[in-house]
Amino acid sequence: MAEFAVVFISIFVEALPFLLLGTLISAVVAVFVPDDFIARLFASRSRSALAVAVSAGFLLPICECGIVPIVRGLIRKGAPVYAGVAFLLAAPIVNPIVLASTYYAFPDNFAITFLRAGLGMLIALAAGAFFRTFYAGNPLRGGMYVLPAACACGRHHGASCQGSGRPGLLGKCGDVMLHAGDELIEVGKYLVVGVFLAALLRTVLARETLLAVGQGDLTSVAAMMFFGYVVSLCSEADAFVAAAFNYYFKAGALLAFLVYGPMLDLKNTFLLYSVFKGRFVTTLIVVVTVAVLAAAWLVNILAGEATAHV
Amino acid sequence: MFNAMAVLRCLALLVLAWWVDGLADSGMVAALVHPRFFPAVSLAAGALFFLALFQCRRFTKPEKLNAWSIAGLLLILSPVLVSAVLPVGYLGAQTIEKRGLTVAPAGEYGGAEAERFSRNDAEGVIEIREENFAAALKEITHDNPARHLGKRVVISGMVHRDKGMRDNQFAVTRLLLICCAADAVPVGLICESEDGCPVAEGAWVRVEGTLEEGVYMQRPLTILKVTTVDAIEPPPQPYVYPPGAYRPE
Repeated sequence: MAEFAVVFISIFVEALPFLLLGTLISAVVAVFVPDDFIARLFASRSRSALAVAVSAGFLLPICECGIVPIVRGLIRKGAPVYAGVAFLLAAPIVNPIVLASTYYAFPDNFAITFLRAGLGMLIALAAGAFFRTFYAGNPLRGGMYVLPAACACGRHHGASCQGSGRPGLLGKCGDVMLHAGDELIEVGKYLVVGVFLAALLRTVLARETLLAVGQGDLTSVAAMMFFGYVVSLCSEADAFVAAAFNYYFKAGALLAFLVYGPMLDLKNTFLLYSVFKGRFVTTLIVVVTVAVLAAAWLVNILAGEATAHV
Repeated sequence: MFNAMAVLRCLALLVLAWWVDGLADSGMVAALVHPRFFPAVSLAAGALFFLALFQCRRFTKPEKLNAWSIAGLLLILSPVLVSAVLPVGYLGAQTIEKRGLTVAPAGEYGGAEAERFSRNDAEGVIEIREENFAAALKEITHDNPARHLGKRVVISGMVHRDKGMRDNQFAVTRLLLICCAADAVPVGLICESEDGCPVAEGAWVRVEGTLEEGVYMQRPLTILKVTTVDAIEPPPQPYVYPPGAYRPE
């Protein structure tokens, strides 16, 4: 019980600053970026949009909690859904801090870092391409945007909050703080539910249980994906936890954990459902799960009998 | 017109800010996250305070009191409520048992410390400290086992025993905090003593001995051949935070 409480509070305290950062960036985008600016940016460049979205992850050191409100803000401002998906999936993996910590966790096995970035980008691209081909419509919950009825912007909210009743830069900064507060409360409660369940499973699951589940090429991947999903570690730290499994699992299973965990986990699933429509999130989860499972299985087969530890 | 909903939102943000600030102030935040996040945690408390402040702009705007929104606020405050019932503390023996011991850590835990430990060929006893706990263990058991055989070392930590150990073996362990308590990894040195482990699981000890070749879980591994075991008080900072250590004030 005491262990559960500590883990619950620690994941929350860890995620809170990053969720705050995400909501602040999202609020800045909402208030300062003109409505059609991003739509126009993407309009003539739909071919390279996916590549741009994936590469943008290299520049923005943001993890899987902060990214959700940012992607919502971008889609709200007219960014294509598929680009949003690719950015959402790639950013928590390819950002420089995560890659550096992966390298530090596996200093004598650079292949892990390289493959983590490579598979992460590949799967983000594939999922983006899937949504470009098969998904039309607006994935955001509640039409385009719902704010609390009493948003003090002084405007009736249409597409988004564009300006405030108060003039000037200061007025707009006030709007940013107001919207960031709203968004933090709105998505924060879903984060809490996700963190609660993650802490519960983290407390209950023992390493031995996981080891008992699977040692095969496919079962080990499935076991580590499940583990990565439920424990909801920050992508900055998960490589060190993966390293603790180094002797027990093959490379594909470790990579599945390192790629799947940042893209989807229990706490960010709740965030996603709070922001996007149910069917959209379910499709996203299915696509990503199948893609990671297949890719990691392939790595295990190609890696042959050798264990991940070199 | 008085907006009760906005007041509640403002209060919830204020309580959260006060709670986060309290964790940072009391130092209990060290039981939760790695010290490199302390500035982020303090900043978050400040940001929450400002977000609460700006909610005041809505105090006079009309808004209905909504049961769902109030439930949402309670949900967001649930970590505060949980910590009121079960005070935040450091993880211990139970967690080590569950997460499983890592005996040959392969990660990078501060090259400079490992280097310093490795170069330390002084006669006498080399102390494995909080600053180099992970780095030294990595050096001893993983990177350069041969170089350190025969050295006398002293190490402090929590006693842990598991099924893979022989009757005369026990481990001296610490929890490595990389990011937060959810990812804390138990790392330890296997010790071997003729009389087995003299103290109970989870107790804190200071063990002195000689590094020798040994076997753990049917694999060759550098172990500590024990000469003395002393029970000690748990240190104020039971975790180690690689690279380096955290010492408040």
